[in-house]
Amino acid sequence: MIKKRMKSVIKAGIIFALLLFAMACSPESPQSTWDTHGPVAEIQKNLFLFVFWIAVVVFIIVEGGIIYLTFRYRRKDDKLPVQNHGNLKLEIAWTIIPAIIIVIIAIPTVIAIWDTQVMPDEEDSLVVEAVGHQWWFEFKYPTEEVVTANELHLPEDTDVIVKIASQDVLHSFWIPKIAGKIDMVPNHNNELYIKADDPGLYYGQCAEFCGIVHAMMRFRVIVHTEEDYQDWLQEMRTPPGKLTIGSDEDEGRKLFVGNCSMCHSYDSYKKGAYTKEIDSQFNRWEEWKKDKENSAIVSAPNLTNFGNRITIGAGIKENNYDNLVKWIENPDAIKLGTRMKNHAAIYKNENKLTNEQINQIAKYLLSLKPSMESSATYNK
Amino acid sequence: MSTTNKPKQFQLPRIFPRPMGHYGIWSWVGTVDHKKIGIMYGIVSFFWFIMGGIEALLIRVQLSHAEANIIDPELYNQLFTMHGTTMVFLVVMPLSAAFFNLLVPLQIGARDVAFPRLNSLSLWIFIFGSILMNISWFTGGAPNGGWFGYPPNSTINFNPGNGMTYWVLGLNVLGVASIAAGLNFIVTIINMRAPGMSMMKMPVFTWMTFITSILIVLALPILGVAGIQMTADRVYGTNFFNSEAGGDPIFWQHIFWLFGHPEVYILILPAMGIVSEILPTFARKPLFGYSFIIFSGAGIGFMGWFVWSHHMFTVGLGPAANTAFTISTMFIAVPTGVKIFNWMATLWGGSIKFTTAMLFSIGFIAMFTIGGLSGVTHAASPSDMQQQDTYYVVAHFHYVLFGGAIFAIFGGLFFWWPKFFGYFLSERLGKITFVLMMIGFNLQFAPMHWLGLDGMPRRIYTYADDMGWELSNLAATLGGFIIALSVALFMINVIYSMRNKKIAPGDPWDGRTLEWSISSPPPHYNFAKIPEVNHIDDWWYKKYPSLLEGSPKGDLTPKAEVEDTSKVNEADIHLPDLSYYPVLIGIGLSLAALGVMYTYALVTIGLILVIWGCIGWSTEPVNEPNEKHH
Amino acid sequence: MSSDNITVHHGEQINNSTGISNKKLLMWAFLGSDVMFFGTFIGTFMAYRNKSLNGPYPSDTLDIPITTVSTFVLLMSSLGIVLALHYLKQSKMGLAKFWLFAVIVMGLIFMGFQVYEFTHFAHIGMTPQVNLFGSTFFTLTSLHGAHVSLGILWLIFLLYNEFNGNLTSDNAFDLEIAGLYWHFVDIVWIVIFALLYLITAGDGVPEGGIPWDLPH
Repeated sequence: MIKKRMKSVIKAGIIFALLLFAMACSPESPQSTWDTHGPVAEIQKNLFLFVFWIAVVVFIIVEGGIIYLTFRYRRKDDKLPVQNHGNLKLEIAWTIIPAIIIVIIAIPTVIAIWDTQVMPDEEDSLVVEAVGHQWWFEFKYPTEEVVTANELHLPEDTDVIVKIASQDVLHSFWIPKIAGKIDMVPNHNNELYIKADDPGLYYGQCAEFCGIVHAMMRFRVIVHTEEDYQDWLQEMRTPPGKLTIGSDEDEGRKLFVGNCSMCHSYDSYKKGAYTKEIDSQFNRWEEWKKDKENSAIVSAPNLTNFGNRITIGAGIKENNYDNLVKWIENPDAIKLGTRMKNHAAIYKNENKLTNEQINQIAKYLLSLKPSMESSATYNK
Repeated sequence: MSTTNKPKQFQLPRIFPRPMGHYGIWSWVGTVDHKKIGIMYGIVSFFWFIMGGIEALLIRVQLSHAEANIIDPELYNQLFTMHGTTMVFLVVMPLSAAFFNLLVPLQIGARDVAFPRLNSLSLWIFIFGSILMNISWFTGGAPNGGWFGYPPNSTINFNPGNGMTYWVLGLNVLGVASIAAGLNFIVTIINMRAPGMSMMKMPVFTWMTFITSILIVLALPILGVAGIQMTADRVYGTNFFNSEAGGDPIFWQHIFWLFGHPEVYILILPAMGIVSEILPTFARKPLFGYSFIIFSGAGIGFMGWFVWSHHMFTVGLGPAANTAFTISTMFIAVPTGVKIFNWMATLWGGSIKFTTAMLFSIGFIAMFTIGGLSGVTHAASPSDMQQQDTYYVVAHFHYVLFGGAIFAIFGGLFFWWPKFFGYFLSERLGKITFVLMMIGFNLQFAPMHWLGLDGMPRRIYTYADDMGWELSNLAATLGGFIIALSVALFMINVIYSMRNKKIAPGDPWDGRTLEWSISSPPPHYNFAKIPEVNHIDDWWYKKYPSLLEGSPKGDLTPKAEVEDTSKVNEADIHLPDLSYYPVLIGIGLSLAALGVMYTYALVTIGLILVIWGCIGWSTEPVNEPNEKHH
Repeated sequence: MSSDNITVHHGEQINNSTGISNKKLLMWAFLGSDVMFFGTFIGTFMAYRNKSLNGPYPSDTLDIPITTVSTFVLLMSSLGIVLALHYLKQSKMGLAKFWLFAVIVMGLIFMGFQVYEFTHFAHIGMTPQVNLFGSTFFTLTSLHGAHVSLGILWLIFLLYNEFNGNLTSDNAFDLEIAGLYWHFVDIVWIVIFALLYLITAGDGVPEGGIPWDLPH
C-alpha cells in the first residue's frame, strides 16, 4: 500500500523534473551564453560545463543518496536502530575527497582567469571605448576617430580591447555570446578583452542595476568581415545625401537642428568632429549637473548615420518610422524616465511639436545615411 | 536580600508604573521573558514574510509576460529592493532570533538569557525599525536601489528623495538590534550553561547560535559604518561615495560585502542548527559526527570572512584578486559538504519517521545542496563573468535561502510548536504544505538557472518578446503562487490547530535535548530544578541510560520523566521583573532616525526618549523590592 | 528550591561557567564589535588617503603639537581611571572620588581640544563636505568623540553614585567595566593619532595629480 503510493510519488517527481528540464531546452535566446561566438565566451562556457558535470555527479550522489536513505530506512517498527555516533575515517574521507575535487576544479579555473582577464598588446588590437550612461551606451573608436551609440561594429577574428568607463552610475557591458561582462564604474578604467569569431548580429545588455529603466539599456553588436568593417568606418566618415529643399526630410532637419542638436550630435562624420564630440558630451554633462531638475541640456546619444541603425532607444525597439514617431512623441510611453523626456524643451507645453513636425523629424533621421557619391567622403 | 543598609538607589521617577503582571497584553509589551520575546519575534517576522511574499508575487506577475505593463519600473524597483531587504533583515534574521530566544536558554538549562532587558531591547528596536523602513511606502516611495544599494545609483545625486535614506537608516537601526542580541547570546552561551554542560556537550543548535552571534557582532558594525557613511552622504553632503569628489563606488561594495558575506552565513547557520536537531530525533539515532558538524560550522564562520569579493568578480579587481577569491570561495564548499554528508549519515541506518518537521529538514538538505552546487559554479570567476547579475544568481541564492533557511525554519516551527504552545500543528495539513511548497519552490526557481544562462539579467522590470524567456518566467510565476498557497495553508493550519487543540505532552517526539524535559508549554521559570548535565543529548541519556554503552539492549522504557511542576513553590523562584524602558528606547531610536530625514525636533525627542530609557533602565532594580511574587 | 532562585542582586547570577561576570563578558564582546566599527572607519580613511580632488589637505590643517597634548591628556586619564578603581577597591573613597573626578576633567579637556580643532578647521575651510579628507576625518573623529562623550556621561553617573554611597568596593566591578570601555576608547585614539596625525599629516597635494581619470 505504502509502496504503491511511494511509486506514484516518484513517478510524479520524475515527470515534474522532466518538465523542468524540457523548459531548459527551449530555443536559445539571442543572449544565450551557450551559443558562443568568441574565444572568451567559449572558455567561460567550457569551464562552466566542466564544473557543471562534476556538480551533476555530486548531485546524483547526494540527492540519490537522500532518496535511497529515506526509503531504505523509513520506520518499520519500534525498534531503536544502531546508535552510531560517527566515524573518523569517513570524516577524513569526505573532507579530503571534496578538497581534492576542488583542487581539480581550481586548476583550469585559474588558467581560464589568466587566459581571459589579461589584455593583449594594444598595438596588435583594436581599441574601442565604451562609456555607460543612464540609459544608453556610447561607443568610441579613438584611433579611427569614429563615435556612435548603442550599436557596436567590430571586425571578425580580431583582438579587441574594450576600454570601459561610466559617466554617471554603475553599468555593465555584456555581450553574452561573445564574452562575460565587466562593470562600468565611474572613476575606474576597466578593460575587457573580447574577440568575435564570425560575422553576425549579437545582442548586448547592461547587467548592473543602474536606475529606473535599467531594463531597457541594451545594445547591438554587428560583427563584420574585415572588408565590411572598413566599409562601415568609411560610411561613418561620409556625410548623408543632400536633401531636397522643402521636403519633409529637409523641414525635419531644420526642426532637429533647432530643437535636438544641442544634445544629440548628428554630424560626427566631419573632420575633427571626434574630439569635438568628446568635449561636447563633457560640457553637456557639466551643464546638466548644475541644475539636475531643470537643465535643458544633457549628454545624449550621437545620431550620426542614424538611418542605418537597427534599433532605437538603446536596443529596445526596431528602428522604423512608426516606432520613431512614437518615440519622439512621448519617450516615456516606451521607456519611462529618460532624460530626453525630462529635459528636452519640446516636452514643455509652450514648445510642443505638432504631429506633422514629429513626422518630419522622424523622416529626417531615417534619411541620415551615408551618401552614395564618392566625392562626399571626408578623409581622416 | 541584604540591601537594607544601602541608601536608596536613585530611580528615575515614573510616569507609568512598572508593569508587573504575567498575564494580559501589557505583560507582553513589557516582558523580559525569552519565550514571550521569541514568540513576538516570530509573529512580527512572519508578518513581514507575508509582506515580502506579496512583493515577490507582484514582481512575478509583472515578469510573467514579455513587455508587460502591469507595474511601472519605479514601483518595480521599489518592490525588488524591499523584497530582498525584507526577506533578509525582517524575516530570516528575526525568525532565527525567535528560535535563539525560544531555545537557547532551555537547551543550556538556564532560566533566561544573560541580559533579559537587553533582549527585550533587541526585539523592540527590531519592531520599530521594521516599521520605520516600511513607512517609506507612504512618504514618497520606498527604497529603490536594490537590497545592496550600490552607489552612485543610491547617492543623493542620482536618487533624490527620502527612499534610500529610509533604507540606510532602517538598516542601521536594525543593526543595533542584531548586535545587542548577538552580544546577549554570546554571554548567555559562554556563561550560563547548566552545571556539567561543557561547550562540547551543548546541542548543535546552541553551537550554531553561538557562532552566528559572533558573526553578527563582528559583521553588523561594518554595515553600520557603511550606513553611517551613506547617511552622511545623503543627508549632510559628505563625499564617501560621491564619484564627482573622487569617492569610489567600489569602496562601498568592499565594505558592504565584508559585512554581506558573513551575513549569508548568519542566515544559514541557525537553519543548519535546526536541521541538526530534527534529523536525529526522527531518525532515532544520534547526530553523526557531532564534533565535525560543530567544527565545520566554526570553519564556515571563519572562512566566510575571506571570500567577500566573489560578489565583485565583474567589477574589475584584476586577475590576481579574482584568483584569490575564487580559491577561497571554492574551499568553503569543503566544510559545507562535511555537514551534508554527516546529515546523510545520520539518516543512514536510522528509523525514519516522516513528520512534517522531518520532511522539511530532508527537503532542506536536498535544496541546499542544489544551491551549494550552483554556488561552486559561481566560485569559478570566469564562468561567473557570464552568471553575475543574471537570474542564475537569483536561482542560487533562493535555493540556499528559501530551500535552505526557510525550509529549515518551517521544519523548526512544526518541531517546536508543541513545546511552546502546548498543542500540535496538524500533521496532515503540514505535509500538504510541504508538498505544495516543494513543488511551488522548484517550479519557481529551477527555471531561473537556465534563464540566467540564457542571458536574462536580474533587476529588470520587463524583457523583450523575442528572447524566448516567456515560458520559463510564466512557470516561475505559477510556482510563486503555489508557494503562496502553501503559506496560506500554513496559516490555516495555525488557526485550525489553535481551535482544535490536540494537546502535546512535554516530550511529544521522544526528544534528545533539555527543552523536552519540561512541560509544554514550559513554566515561566523554565526548570523547576536546574539540571545536572553529563552528556551531549543529555535528556536522551537520562531517559535511556542503557544506551550509553552502545546500541539498544534490553528494556527501553524511559527512566526519566518530564519535570513535574505541581510541587513547585513559585514564590521561591525569582525572575527579573518586566520593564518598559527597552520599549521606550526602541521607539526613541526609530523616531530619531525618522527625524534625521525630516526635522531636528524629532531627533531631539527621539534622543530624549533614548536617554530617558537608558537612565531609567540603569537605575531600576532588576526586581522591585517587596513585590508580591505572582 | 531557594538555591535555584535567580533574584538578581546586581551582578550576581547562577550558572556561571567561566567565573567572569556576565557584565564583564558583555563589555569585552561589545568592545570586539566596536573594534570592527572603528576598524572600518579607519580603513576608510586610509583607503581614501591622497585621493581628494582638492584641498584643504592634511598638511594644511592638522596640527601635531596641539594634538599631542590632547593625546597625552587622554592617555593620562586612562592612568587616572586605573587609580580610581584601585582606590575604590580599597575603599579609600576620598582618593577614589578624586581620581574619578580627574578622569572626567581630563576627558572634558580632550573634548575641548576636539571642539577647538573642529571650529578652527571650519574657519580655514575644511568641512566634511569639501573633499574626501574632510569627510573621512570628521566622521572618524566625531564618532570617537561621541564615544568619549558617552564615556564621560557614564563616569559622571558613577561619580554621582560614589557620592551617594551606591558605588563601593562591593560593586567596584561596575567601575571596572567602565574602565575597560575607557581604555578601549583611549587605545582607539592612539591608533587614530598614529595613523591620521603622525603618518598622514604630512600629506599635501597628491603626487601625480588627480588620482582618477575622469571621463572626458
